[in-house]
Amino acid sequence: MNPRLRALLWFIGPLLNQNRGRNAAAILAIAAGVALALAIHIVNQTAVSEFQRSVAKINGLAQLQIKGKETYFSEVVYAVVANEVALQNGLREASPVIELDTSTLNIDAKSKRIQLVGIDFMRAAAVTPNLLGRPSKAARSIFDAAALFGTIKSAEKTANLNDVTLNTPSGPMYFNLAGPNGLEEENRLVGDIAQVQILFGLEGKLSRIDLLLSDNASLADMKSRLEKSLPDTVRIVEPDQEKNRMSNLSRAYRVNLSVLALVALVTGGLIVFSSQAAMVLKQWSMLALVSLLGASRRWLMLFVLGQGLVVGAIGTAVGLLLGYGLAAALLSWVGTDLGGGYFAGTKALPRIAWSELVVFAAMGLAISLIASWLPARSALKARRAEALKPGHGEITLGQLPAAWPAFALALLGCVLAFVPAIGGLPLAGYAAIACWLFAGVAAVPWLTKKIITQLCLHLSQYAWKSPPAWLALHRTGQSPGLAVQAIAGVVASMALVTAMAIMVSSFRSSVSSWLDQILPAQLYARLPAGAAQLQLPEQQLIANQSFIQRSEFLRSVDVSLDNARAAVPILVRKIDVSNPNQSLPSSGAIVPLTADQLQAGVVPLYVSEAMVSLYGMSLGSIVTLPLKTLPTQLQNGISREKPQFKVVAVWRDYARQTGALQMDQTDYRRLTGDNSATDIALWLKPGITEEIAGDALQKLDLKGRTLEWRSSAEIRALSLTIFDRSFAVTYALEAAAIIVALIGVAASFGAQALARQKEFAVLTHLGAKPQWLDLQLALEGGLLTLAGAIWGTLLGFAMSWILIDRVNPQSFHWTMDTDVPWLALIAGIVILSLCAAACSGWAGRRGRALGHLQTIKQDW
Amino acid sequence: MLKLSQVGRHYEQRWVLRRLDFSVQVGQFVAFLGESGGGKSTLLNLIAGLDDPDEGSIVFQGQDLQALNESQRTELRRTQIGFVFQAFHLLNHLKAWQNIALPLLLSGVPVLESQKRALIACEQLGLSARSDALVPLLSGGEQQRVALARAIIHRPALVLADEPTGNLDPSNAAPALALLKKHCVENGATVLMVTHSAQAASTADRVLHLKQGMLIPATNESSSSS
Repeated sequence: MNPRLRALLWFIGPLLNQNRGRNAAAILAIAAGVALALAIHIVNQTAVSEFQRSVAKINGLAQLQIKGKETYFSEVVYAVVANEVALQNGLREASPVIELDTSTLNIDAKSKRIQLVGIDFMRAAAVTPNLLGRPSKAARSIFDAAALFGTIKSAEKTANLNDVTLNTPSGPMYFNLAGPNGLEEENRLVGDIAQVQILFGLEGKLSRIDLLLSDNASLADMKSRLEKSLPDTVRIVEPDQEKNRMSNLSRAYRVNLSVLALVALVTGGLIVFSSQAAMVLKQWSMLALVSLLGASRRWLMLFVLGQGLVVGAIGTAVGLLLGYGLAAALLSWVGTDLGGGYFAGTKALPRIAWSELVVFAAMGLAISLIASWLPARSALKARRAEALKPGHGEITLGQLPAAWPAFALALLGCVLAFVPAIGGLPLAGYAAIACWLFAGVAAVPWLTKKIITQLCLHLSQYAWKSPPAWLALHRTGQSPGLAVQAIAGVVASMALVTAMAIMVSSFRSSVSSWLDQILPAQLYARLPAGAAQLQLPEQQLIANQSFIQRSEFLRSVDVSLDNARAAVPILVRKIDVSNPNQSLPSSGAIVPLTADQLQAGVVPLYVSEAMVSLYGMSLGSIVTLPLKTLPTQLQNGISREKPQFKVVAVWRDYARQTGALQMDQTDYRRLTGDNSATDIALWLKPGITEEIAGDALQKLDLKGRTLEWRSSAEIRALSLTIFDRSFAVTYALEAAAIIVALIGVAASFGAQALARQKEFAVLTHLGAKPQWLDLQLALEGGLLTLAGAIWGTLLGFAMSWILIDRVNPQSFHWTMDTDVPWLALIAGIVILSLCAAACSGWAGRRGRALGHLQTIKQDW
Repeated sequence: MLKLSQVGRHYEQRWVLRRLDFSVQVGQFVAFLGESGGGKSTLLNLIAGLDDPDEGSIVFQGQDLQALNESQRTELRRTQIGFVFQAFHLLNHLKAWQNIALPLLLSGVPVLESQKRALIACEQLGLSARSDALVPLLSGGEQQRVALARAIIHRPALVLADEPTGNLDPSNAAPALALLKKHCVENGATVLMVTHSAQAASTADRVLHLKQGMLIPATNESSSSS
C-alpha cells in the first residue's frame, strides 16, 4: 500500500472512532436522504412497469390498434380490415374487441363494478392470447356463449360460486364463470363478442380492433394505408402509445415526489456539511500541525474528504437497505400509486436494476464528498503559521464568506423561473427552486450577521440582565459562518416545507371552491362507461318524480384530438351563454361571440386550462371538433358539415389533467341531434333527503341500467379524502426533512459544545451556573433556528410562487389561487425553534458532561 | 482566610497531593513553586472548589468547601474568587471590555455600571484604545492584561493565578506581576500563584515549594507578610 495512503488511513480511523456521536448523526442524515429518494424511485418504477405489464398483456402481440374517436365505432370498419386480411395485403390477423363497464349483482343485491371484454376467440387466439379463457375441467368449451372467463371477488357471494349475475339493459343475466383468463386481474371478465354486443345493446359497434401484421409488412406503411382507407371516425394507434399515455399522465406527479425525495437527500447532505465543518473545527490545530510538519495541501484535503467518504459510504449503504425496505413496505401497504390515484393502487414487489442502485449510491457519496469539500477548502485556505493560534479555526470558519455565490444563484433562479416546460416537465422550475434554495442557504451568514448585529445593538443592554441570553446573543452575532453549519438544514427544510404547505393549502382551497361550483345540485348519478345512454323518455321519467324540484341531464362524449393523447371528454350541460361564469368555474376573462360570428353559426366552446396548454386552444381562438354533426343550414343558405367553435371562456378543471371541453346543451343537441344523457343532477324538494330520493330513484325501471346515486356532500367529501390521501406521502416527506434538520441542529450544537469546552470551562471558573451554560446553548440553538426558520419561510414563500404559478401549470395544466396557511406556518416556526432549543440544550449538556474537568486539567 | 489541613488527592493509584497543611492570611501574595506534574493545577482546582480532596479539609473564609453544595461553590467562585490562566482563556467572540466585564455580568451588576468599571480598568491597564477590539486582534501582552483585569474587576477576596506569565516575554511579564501585586495591596486581596519560574515567584510575599505533591521546606521562603 502507498505509504501516504497508509498514513491517511492510520489518521482517519481513530478520529472517526473519537467522534462516534456526530458521525452517527451524519450517517443517519445521509441514510435518511438516500432511503427516501430510493424508496420513492423504486415505487414509481414499479408502478410504471406494473402498468405497462398490464397493458402489454391486454394488447398481446398487437402491432397496431384501430380505435374510435368516440367510445365506439361502427363494425363496418372491421369488415374493411377483415377484407385486407383475406387478401393477405400486409395484415395477418385482425381481432375485434368490445369493452364496457357494468356491474355484478350479488346475493345481497349489492353491485360491484367490473369491466367486460367481448372478443372473437378465433381471431384473438393469434393476436391477444392473454384475453382467451382458460376453461376449467367442468366447463364445456371456450366457445360457450353463456360463459365468461375471469376472476371476481364478488362471485364469492353468489349462491353458486361458478355463477355471476351481470346487470344488462334487459335486466340481470346469469353467466357461468367457466375459468380464469390470462390477464391475472380481478374484475375484468372476457366473453364472446356477439353475446356481449347483443346483451348490452351494442350490436354493430366495436371498441377497438387489434391488428397483427405480416412478417414483411412495414408498420409505418400499414398505418398510413389504413388511415387513408378507413373512415375518419377511427384512429390508428401503436400499442406503445397507449403504454406511454398513463406513464405520461402520472409522470409529473412522480417527478414531484422524486424531487421532494431528492430534497431530503440534499438536506441530509447539508447535515453532513455541518458535521464535517464541526469536525474540521475540532481538528483545526491538528491539521495545522500536520501541515507544518510537511503534509501537502492535497494530502490534507484527502484526509478531510476521506472522513466524509467513510461517513457517506456507511450512510449510503444503510440508506440503500432502508430505501429498499421502505419501498417494499409502501408497495405492500399503500400500493404502487402512493395515493396518487393513477394506478388504482395495485400491489407489487419492488423492482430496481443494479445500475440504478449504483446511481443512488453515487449520489449519496457525491453529496457527502461535496459536503466535506466545502469546510476542507476553508481549512486549507488558512495561513499555516497562524492556523496554530488558539481559536483561529473558529475565526476562519466563522467569518463571513463571499456574497457573490448567493447573488449569482438567486439571479440564475430568477431566469430559470421563466423558462417554459422541457419535455412536458417543469424541470427549469425545479432548477429555479434549487437555485433559490442554495442562494438562501449561502446567504445565511450575511443575514445572521445583519439580524444579530441589530439585535445586539438594540437588545444587548436588556439581555445583560440574563447572562445566558447576553452571551448567546453575542456569540451568535460574532460567528455568522458557524451559523450556516448549524441551520443550513433548517433553512432548507423549512423553505421546502413552507413552499409545499402553501402550494397544498392553495390547491386544497381551490379544489374545495371548485367542488362548490361544479356540484350545485344535491344528488348526482353517472352511467357506467359503455352503458346505453338515457333517452328522453327515461329522462322524463326521472324528472317527473314528485320529490324532484329541478333536474339537469348531462351528456359526456369523448373525442380524440391527438392520437398520442388520451381522448378528451366534451361535457354537455346547460350553460348560461350570456353569463358563463355562473355555470363554470371560470379562471379568467370571457370573450363572447361577435355579431359576425353569431351570424356565421360559430358555436361557443368552454375549454379547461389543460386544453390551452396541450392543444393551444387559447381564449378567443376558433377550432373544429371531430363531432358527428348534422349538416348545418346557415342564414346565408350555405350548409356546413363541420361547425366552427370559438373558445369563449377557460375554466378550471382539477379532475382531468388531459383536458376537457364544455358545450351548451342546446348547441350540442342542435348540432348532433343527440338528446341522450350520461349524467344526472337533481335538486330535491324541501324536506326530501338524499337517502330517501336515492332509494326511490334506485327502484325506477331504467332498462337494466344501474345508477349509483351520490349526494354532492358525499362526492365533495370523497374528493377531498382522495386529495388528502394523494398528498399524504408529501406530508411524510416534509416531516422527514424537518426531522433530519432537527438532527442536524442537535448534531451541530453537540459538536459546538465539544469544540467550545474551553469557553464553557472559563465561564464555569468565573462562576456561571451549569444550567446557564445549557440555557446559553439552548438560546443559541433556538435563536439561530428561529432566524433560520423565518428565513426559510420567506424563501418558501418565493418558492411557492414557482410551485403554484410555474410548476403546477406546467405539470398538471391547472392554476390555483394562493392560500397561505398562516397559523400552521407560525406554529411550525415556533415548534421547530423550541425543539431546536431543546435539542441544542440537550446536546450541549451531553457534550459538556464529557470534558469539563478534562479541559481544566489540559490547561492548568 | 484559607486553611488546608492534611489535604490529599489521588488519581487511580497515584497520589498527586499528599498531606498538604498550610494557611494563608488575608492580603498575602503566595507563590507555589514547582516542576511540571508536581500537583500545582490539582491544588488550584481543589481551592476553587472544582474538585474534592480525597482526604483532609479546605476552609475558605471560615467555610469548609466540602460542606458546600455545587450551587454554593459556584456562588463562591463568582463573588470571591478571580482566575488568571496561562493561556488567558478569553472569549474570542467578545470585545476586550466585554471580557473584562464578564464576572460583573455573571454577578448581576447593572450593564452601565459594569461597562463603566470595565472601561476604567482598561484605562488603568493602558488598554483604552483597545477596549472595543475583539480578542483575536489583541497582542499576547494585551490579552494577558485583559485577563488580569477580568480576574480583579469584581474585587474578589482571592485571586488564583496559574502561570500568569508563562506565555509572556520578560518585558510583559514584569508589569503583569506588578499589577497583580498592586491589586493585592490596594484591595487587601489574597493571591495564590503557581509557577515554575523562580523569577516570577520572587515577586511574591511568600514562596512554597511543591514537589511530588508535597510541600517541602525551602531556604528562600519569604514570610514577610505572615
